[in-house]
Amino acid sequence: MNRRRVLVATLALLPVPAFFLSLFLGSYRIPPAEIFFMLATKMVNPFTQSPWPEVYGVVLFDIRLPRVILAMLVGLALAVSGASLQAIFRNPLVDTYILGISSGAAFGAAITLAFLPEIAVQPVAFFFGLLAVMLAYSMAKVRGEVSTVSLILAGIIVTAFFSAMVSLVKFLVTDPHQLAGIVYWLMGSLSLASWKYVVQVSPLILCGSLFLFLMRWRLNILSMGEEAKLLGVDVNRERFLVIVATAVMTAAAVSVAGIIGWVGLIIPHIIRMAVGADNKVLIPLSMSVGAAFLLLADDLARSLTSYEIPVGIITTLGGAPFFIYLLRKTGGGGWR
Amino acid sequence: MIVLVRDLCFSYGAGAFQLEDINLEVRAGEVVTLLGPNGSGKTTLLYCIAGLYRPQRGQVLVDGKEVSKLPRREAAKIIGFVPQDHHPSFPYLSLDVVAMGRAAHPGLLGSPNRRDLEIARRALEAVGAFHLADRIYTQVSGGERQLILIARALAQEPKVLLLDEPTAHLDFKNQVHVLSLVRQLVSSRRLAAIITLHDPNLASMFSDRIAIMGEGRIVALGSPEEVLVPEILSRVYAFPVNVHKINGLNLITPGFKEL
Repeated sequence: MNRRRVLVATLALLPVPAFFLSLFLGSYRIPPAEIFFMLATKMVNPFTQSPWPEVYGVVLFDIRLPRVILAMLVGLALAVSGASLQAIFRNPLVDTYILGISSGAAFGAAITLAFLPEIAVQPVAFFFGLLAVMLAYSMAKVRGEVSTVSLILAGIIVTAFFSAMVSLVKFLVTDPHQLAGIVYWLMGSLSLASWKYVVQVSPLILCGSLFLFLMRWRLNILSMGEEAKLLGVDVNRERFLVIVATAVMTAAAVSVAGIIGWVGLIIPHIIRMAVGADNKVLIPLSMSVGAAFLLLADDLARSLTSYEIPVGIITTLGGAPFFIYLLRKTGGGGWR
Repeated sequence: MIVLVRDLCFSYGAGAFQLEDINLEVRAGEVVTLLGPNGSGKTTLLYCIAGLYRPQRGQVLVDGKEVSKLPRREAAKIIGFVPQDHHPSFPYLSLDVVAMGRAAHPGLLGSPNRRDLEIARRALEAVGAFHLADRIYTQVSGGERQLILIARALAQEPKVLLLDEPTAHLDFKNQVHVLSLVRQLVSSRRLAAIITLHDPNLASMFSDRIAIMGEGRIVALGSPEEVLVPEILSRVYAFPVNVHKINGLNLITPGFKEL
């Protein structure tokens, strides 16, 4: 029991060392001591006259810090949404994009990049991501009841539809640079991170995660399926609220980072294998580990080679083997 | 009277009634068993009593309230339900599963408090399964899981206990164990219990009254001695049934083999 506590505390605090490590990393070298000093000075007085070289300030406060914060927000959003959806679908193979958010957002991004260059990509991607989930949800609703099986099927349909639409857009694009832009966006990357993005998505992601955090015990009950009605739960209503929260968070994350795979699937899994299935613990730890994981993956993405690798490639390439290892080691993967 | 079913008619769609003119009363401290062939409407009736199905005609009063009009949250405070088809999802600890019986108590955004956990612990104790508290409930035996689900229903602190074929997946000893446990809980806590069963012998041993169901109606209602008679059973099952008296016990057997 004590060993478990240490493990829980370690996982909960993982973002802290990851945060500092990520600020130290980068092609422009700033001594770690200097970084601590700069952070401390800014914390005490944000409007202070900076006693450090101007380039230090630009690199740390305008480039690295927003990117690090954005990576943590996106990782948190994807992982906690995945964990919550796994609970309400009572299926550990469900991931964040089960209801079509990714392909809806991809379509939104693709049409803006291809045909509407004067409009920002993020709001359009966000809108179409939410639209996809709404479509899936209303398709799955039959006589006021929304079963998980029909939701999954509706999600598959919506995903297929928007994927076909994305292909159509790619087909219609004649400029190879625009096509490259769409393809690159679909891979998922944080290279465009800025304070503007942080300000745009942080309210949505923080409100959503606060709601899911408070719902963490209800998620245990919702994972009992229709049976939860017998225990006094308005299953349709609570399921709907969880779907709305995850959809808003995921759409916000995707709109600024593109489609980053595997985080929503493997992070909840890894935690379940490590500390058990109870959502009271799983939900908060999904947030912290998801944030730390995407942050470290993004560190690799920007420092592994002299050019940036899309972080979505890193999460999949790095996540899959680790997942195989855990699966074999625990002999079942924490859902039996 | 804790459970009062009056002139209840129910159908799933627009078609013929699955349940017709059901009248049933259950007192505190009483175990009433619904017995009848597959498709006779036992489980459907149980779900109507639980308020999950809304009857087209008639009404179900539990503790004086019409259940089909109660919010689920209020219904769960007076009715504990042990479902037959329980599909485990994630490997929760048994105590966590029992604590889910408290779902109707904290608010939407709440978690169970210390008192809720204490109630869950006592519920596990009451079914004699306290030793399972820290075991993973997907890894316990079928009999143990049934006890955990009964404890979950007790944690709701209900006045009525509904059990849908609680013996379906259990071995011979556990069938008897679970039913005598229910019998004893009903007496000691003055609950009203309605159970669906397939085995007339178990029904005979553990029920105060039995409602024999056939084709959506209650065909006979009374004490085991009154209703477990060859004429009624042979008619509802459309199959010869014998009843033997052995040492004061009613033994019900298929009629094609003389004992």
